[in-house]
Amino acid sequence: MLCSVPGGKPSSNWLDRLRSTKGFPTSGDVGLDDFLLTKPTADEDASDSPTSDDAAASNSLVNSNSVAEQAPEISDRNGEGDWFGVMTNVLSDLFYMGGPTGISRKKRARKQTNPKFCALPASPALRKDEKAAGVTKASLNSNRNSNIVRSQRGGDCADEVDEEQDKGECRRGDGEGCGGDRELKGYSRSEVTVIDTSYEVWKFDKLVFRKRNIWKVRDKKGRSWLSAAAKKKRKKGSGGLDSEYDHGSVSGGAKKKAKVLNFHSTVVAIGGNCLSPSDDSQKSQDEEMEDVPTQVGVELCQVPRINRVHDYRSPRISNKGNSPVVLIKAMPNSKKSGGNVPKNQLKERQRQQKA
Amino acid sequence: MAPPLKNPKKSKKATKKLKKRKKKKTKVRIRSSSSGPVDPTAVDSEWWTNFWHKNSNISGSSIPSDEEQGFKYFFRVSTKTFEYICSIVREDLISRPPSGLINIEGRLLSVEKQVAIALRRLASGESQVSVGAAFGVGQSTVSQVTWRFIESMEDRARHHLKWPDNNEVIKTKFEELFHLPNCCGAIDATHITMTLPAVETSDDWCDQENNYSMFLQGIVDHESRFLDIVTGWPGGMTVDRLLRCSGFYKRCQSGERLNGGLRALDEGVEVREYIVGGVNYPLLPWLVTPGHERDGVSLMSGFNDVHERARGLATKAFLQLKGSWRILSKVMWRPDKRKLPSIILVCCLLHNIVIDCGDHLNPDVELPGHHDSGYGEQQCGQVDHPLGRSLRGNLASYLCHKKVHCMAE
Repeated sequence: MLCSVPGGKPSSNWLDRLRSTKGFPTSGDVGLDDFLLTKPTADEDASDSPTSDDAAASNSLVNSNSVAEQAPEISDRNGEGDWFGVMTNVLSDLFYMGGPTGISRKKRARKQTNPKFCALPASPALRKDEKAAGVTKASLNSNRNSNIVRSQRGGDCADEVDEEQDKGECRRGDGEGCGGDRELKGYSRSEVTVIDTSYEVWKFDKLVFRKRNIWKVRDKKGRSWLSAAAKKKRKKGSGGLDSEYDHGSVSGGAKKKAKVLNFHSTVVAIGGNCLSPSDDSQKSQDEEMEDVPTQVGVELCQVPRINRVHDYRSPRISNKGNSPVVLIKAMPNSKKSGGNVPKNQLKERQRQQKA
Repeated sequence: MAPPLKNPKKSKKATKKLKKRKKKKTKVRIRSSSSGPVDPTAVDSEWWTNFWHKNSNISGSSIPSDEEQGFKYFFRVSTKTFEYICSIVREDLISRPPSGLINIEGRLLSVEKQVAIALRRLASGESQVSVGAAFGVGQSTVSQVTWRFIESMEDRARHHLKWPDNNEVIKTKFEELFHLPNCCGAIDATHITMTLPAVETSDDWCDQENNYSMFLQGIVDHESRFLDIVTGWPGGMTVDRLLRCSGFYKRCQSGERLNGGLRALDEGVEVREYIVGGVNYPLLPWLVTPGHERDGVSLMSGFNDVHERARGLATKAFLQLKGSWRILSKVMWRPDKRKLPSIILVCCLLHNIVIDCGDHLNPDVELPGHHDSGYGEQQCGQVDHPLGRSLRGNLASYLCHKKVHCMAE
C-alpha cells in the first residue's frame, strides 16, 4: 500500500512516512490543528500520490495538489488565514478525531460516537466565510426547533448570561427556516396554528422565532386554512382528534398531496376591510414582537431550559423519509459533503442521461 | 400484477353495496325505534338507552339516578341543547357517509351517537379507549368522530362566539353589577397543559411553571360568555405578549374596537369603553388593571375590590370551561398542536352554547380553586400608559363618590 514511500525509517509508521514525503514535521506530538495549519511547502512530490484510500482521502482534504491550489485562494479571498483552524476546531468539537484519518471518507463514522455540543467562540471570520462561500452552515446540525447550546443547558441562568456574551455565535437556528435571514440566527423556531376570533378568518399559521425574551412572528408560507379544496382533502385524510397514534405524521396520501399543493399558496387571503392576521405583520413583523426594554429584567430567567434532542437524530425523521423536504435536507449541500460523491459516478450518470 | 389491482376495486364495490344495504337497514331501524327515554322526537335515541343501561350503574360514581340529570352529568348539556347541537352538525356528519364509523355490532353510527361520543370525549377528558368502551365503539372511531364533530362545529357554530355589534346591554349589566360605567368585558388567560415528545420539545411551549402549555385568552361579558378568544400561542410567552399578539389588541389599538361612545361621569369627566384585566396585563387606554397603592390607598382599595369582582367573570368563565370540558383541564398527552386550538375553540363554543340555550351548569362541574392552579400571576413589566392611568383614576374617583353618595342616602 505504501510502496511509494521510501523505507528510510523502518521504525516509523505510515503517517510519519507520509508526512515526510510531503514535507511536514514527523514528530508524533503534532496535533491535528498544527498539522492542518501547516502550509504545504513542497510540491515536488505531488506526483507520488499515495495509493491507499486513507492517504488519498487525507490528501484530498489536506495536501493534494488541487486543494493546495485552492486553499490559498480561499484564504486570500476571505483575508483570513485561520479559516481552516476554525473549521478544524468545529469538527474536533463535533467528532472524535484520532488523527488526520478521522476525516477521511472511508473511515468516517456515520454517527457521532462522542457527541458534544458546539462551543465555538465568536469568530467574525467564520461568519464571513459562511456568507461568502455559501457554506450551508447547519447541514450537519440542521435542527428544526432548537439550537445546540440550549440543548445542553438545564435552566441555568448563569449559563444564559454566558450564552449572551457569546452572541449566540454557535447556536444554529434552523437552516431551512432561517434561510439567508441572518437576523434570525440563533432563534428557536416553532410553527403554531393560531385561532383568533378577532380576525375574519379565525385560523392561520405562524412561525414563531424566539431568542430568550425576544419573539418574532412571521407568516408561514405554504398553508392555507381557507382553501376549500385543501380542506376537503384534509377532511378526507383527517385522522383522529388526538395524535396519540398518528402525531406529527402524514398519514393519508391525500394529506400529503394537499401539503404539496399548498406549498406555494398564500397563507391567508382576506379581502375588503377585514383585518388580516398577516396585514400588520408584513409591515412591522419584528417591531410588534420584540420586547419592550423595560421587560427584559423581568423575564430573563423565567423560562427554564430543558434538554432537547436534535431532530436530525430522532427516529421521527425516518418516518418522514418519504417527504420531499426531508430528502432535500438530507442531500449534501456543502461543497465538502458534495465532494463525497465520486466524480466518476456523476459523469457516468450524465452520460446515461445524454444517451 | 394486474389481478391484484382489480381485486381491490371489486372489494370496494362489494363494500359499498354492503354499506348501502346497511344504511337502508339502519334507516328502517331508526324509523321503527321511535320511542326513547330521553327525547321521543330524536331521530335516534337508542344509543342513549344502551349507554344509560351500560354506564348508569358504575359503582363508586355519583351519577344521578334521574335520566335527565344523568344526561347532563355525562354530556354537560340538557337534551334540548343536545338536539340543538345535533342540528348544527347534522349536515356535515350525514353528508359524509362514514367509511368505518360503525359500532361493534357493525351498525352505522347515527348523528346523535356521534355527537354524544364527541361530547363525552370533550366533557370527560377520558382516553379514547375508555370513551369508546362506554359507547361500544373502538378507539379510532372515537378519534375520527370527535375530530369530525370539531371541524363541523368550527364551521357552523361560530355565530355563538363573536364580538357584539352593540355593547349597550353588556355595559348596562356591568354597571348594574359592579358600578363600572362603560365597561365592555373582562379579560383573562389560562394555560392548556400538555406533554410533548422529547424530539419535538421546544422551550417556546415550556411555560413559567415548567409545563408544556398552550395559551387561551378570552374576553367575556357579564354572563361569562366568551366574546373573543385567541389560542394557539405557546405557553412560553408572557400574558402581556400574548395580548399584543392578539387581533383584539390590534383592533383596539387601531380604534376598530372599544370605540363606542364616551360615558359622561360626574363633574364633566368622560370615560371611554374599556375592559378590565389583571396585574399580568398592561395598563392601556382601553384596558384597566388594578390600581397601585401609590395612586392613593383609600381611592384604589375600593376600586380594586370592584375591579376584582368584575374580573372574576373571566375567572369564572375559565373555571366553568375547564370544569365542563375536562379535556382542557387534564394534561393532554402529546396532542397535535395544529389540532389543539380547534379543540379549545370548540370547547369555548360549547361553553357559549350552554349559556345561550339557558342551561345551568351543575354546581359540582365547575373546577374548584383557580383555573390555572399552580400558576402565579406575574406582574406585567410594561410601563403604565398615561391615558390608562387617567381612565383608572377617573373610575376610582367615580366609585369613591358613588360609595359616599350611597352611604349618605
